Amino acid sequence: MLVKNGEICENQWIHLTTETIPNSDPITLPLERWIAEQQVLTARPEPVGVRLLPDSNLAEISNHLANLQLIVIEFPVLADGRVFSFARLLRRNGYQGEIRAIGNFVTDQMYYLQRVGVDSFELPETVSEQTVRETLNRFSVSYQ
Amino acid sequence: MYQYDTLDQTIIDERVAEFRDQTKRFLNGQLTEDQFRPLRLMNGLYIQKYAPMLRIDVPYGLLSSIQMRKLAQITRDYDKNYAHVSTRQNFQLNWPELERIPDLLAELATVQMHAIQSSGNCIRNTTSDPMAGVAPDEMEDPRVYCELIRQWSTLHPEFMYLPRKFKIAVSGSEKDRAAIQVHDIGLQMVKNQQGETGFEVLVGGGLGRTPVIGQVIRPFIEKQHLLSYLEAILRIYNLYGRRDNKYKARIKILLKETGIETFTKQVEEEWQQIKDDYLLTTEMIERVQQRFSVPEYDTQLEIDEQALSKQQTDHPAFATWLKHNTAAHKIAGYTVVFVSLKIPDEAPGDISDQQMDLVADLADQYSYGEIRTTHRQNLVLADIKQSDLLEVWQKLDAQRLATPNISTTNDMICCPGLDFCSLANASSIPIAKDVFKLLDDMDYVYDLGDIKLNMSGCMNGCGHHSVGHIGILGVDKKGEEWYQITLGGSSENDAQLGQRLGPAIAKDDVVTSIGTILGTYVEQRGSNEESFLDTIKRTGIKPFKEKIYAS
Repeated sequence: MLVKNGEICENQWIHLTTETIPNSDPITLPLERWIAEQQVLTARPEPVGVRLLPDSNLAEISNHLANLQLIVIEFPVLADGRVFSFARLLRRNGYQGEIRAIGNFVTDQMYYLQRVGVDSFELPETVSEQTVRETLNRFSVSYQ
Repeated sequence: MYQYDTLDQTIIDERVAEFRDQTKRFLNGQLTEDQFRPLRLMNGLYIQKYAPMLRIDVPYGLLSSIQMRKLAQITRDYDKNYAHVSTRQNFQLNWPELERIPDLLAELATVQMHAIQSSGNCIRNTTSDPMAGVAPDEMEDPRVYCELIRQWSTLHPEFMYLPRKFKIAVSGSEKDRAAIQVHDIGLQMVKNQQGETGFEVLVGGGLGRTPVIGQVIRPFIEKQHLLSYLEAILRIYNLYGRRDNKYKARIKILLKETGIETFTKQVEEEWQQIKDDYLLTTEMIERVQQRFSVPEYDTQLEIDEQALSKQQTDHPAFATWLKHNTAAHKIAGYTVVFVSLKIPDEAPGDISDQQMDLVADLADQYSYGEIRTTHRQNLVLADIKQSDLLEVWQKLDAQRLATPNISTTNDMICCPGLDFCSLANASSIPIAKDVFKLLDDMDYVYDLGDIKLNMSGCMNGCGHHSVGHIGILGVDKKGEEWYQITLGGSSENDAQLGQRLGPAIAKDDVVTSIGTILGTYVEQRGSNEESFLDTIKRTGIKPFKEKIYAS
């Protein structure tokens, strides 16, 4: 299930790892492959997003922020908080595209992720719409 | 006392609802143990040996009488009629039931209390000087800044999943009573050349497995930049702190591995990016300041020294207590009273519901309704009029809260140890009780003077053993409890780590060894005035080592 800006919507993006890149459909690639195949990817008509892991080097994409439509932050485990700072820094550096959380985060983290600049979440189908609404609106005020 | 505004109250109420939902989902299987663990920890909830342990925040050690009464009632309704004061100035409950914790938190919220970030890998309760606001040597009350830090760090969206826990302490006096050099960040209030008050920033101190004394990374930060500077430090730590090994994940290791110059450069560069967007304005500081109630002191108090002297002659035990359990107040005619929670036969730092109620009553009657907790696990009634001291002593004494042992060897810091904690390798409470038995001759204890005996049941160091004048660390040797002794540590202005005396000592011999160490000090001291710590500095640990390991 994809939740974007608080609404459930259809996911257009395909996350690839080592698979052949199709001609159609927007895709995302891991940072390493995205860098390695940069030349080919630039020529591709459909958009290509990049996926960051907590130990990725954010500087690798800093010159591409204006051209990226989607940056995915991946949670291998729920408690690695580096990606929270990634989202914050991406927004501060002027990135205006979508930041999406995928992987092993829990719905309880969505409120906080939304506040550092994440605007979409891929969730297991078992998560209910009500849970999504509740968690995104958990707090009506904040200190920061 | 800081009074919540609507925003403060809304946040803690909504937090209770969040935790209620998380607990429900854990209990009905929607959250796994691994998923629930970080969520419950950042709400102060551990799963311990016998039951969950709940750590309740006492921000910078300040409590109202209403809060104290609520805590007493909670220990009756949810626990076993007592609580434990921790070295982070918090309250711990040892026996609550998981199912009832959301209700317990909801009750706490009614008196402006919570358990947010009292545990977990996030920014913990900011601690401070138990004499804040009343210390004669204070520049400015540090609690205003502690509260600003509390607000900034509470549910900070970016810093809830740090590599490891993060502790901040603030001192507003030159004399450090807040152990700022052994915190992840220590803030020392200082004045710059223009006479403006700001903060010296220390980073990378900490106890635990690898105890380290903090280092200054910036000699002066203006008040207006305090929060942006903290934010810069936290961001660098969150991004670069080690996450591959939890024993190497504290900021002290990052600082060591990066080197102080590079680390400071990273922080400064990050800070340059954000400093102008995140100013702590005078209005923001004043807004928080105004929410602190200020005691209306009588500055024209008649000081009747003769009456006080007569009371002391009539009640020698009162005189002894006055000498050991009180300190000077900035306003003439008032006295700071320490309520000792180091009671023979009781676990150090424990307090019963009846004692809590009494302290709350005394606070209302004599001390503007305020109580403080100290990192040495005692309480403070900060604003007692000299003419009320005798009555206060009598009432405290009736509830065993006037043991005249503050800053003596009996005023031990002690973690819960093997009796309660699932991390512990060895017990600490029984050792503390045996120390009381060993040192029951108070004249001898007073002659020994200021000795800080700190005890931890494992190397995580909750009992601050590394910075005890005498430190005792419980270790496990093939399933048996052994104890490693260190000497010469301190967490005050002269902060240093204790030196290891030698191989660990068997449980049966530990208390005898403490006796030997104290006896050796009496033999070795240059004069009756030379303190334990000064003697160790002069002689080194050799004479002590020889005595302990000779047999």
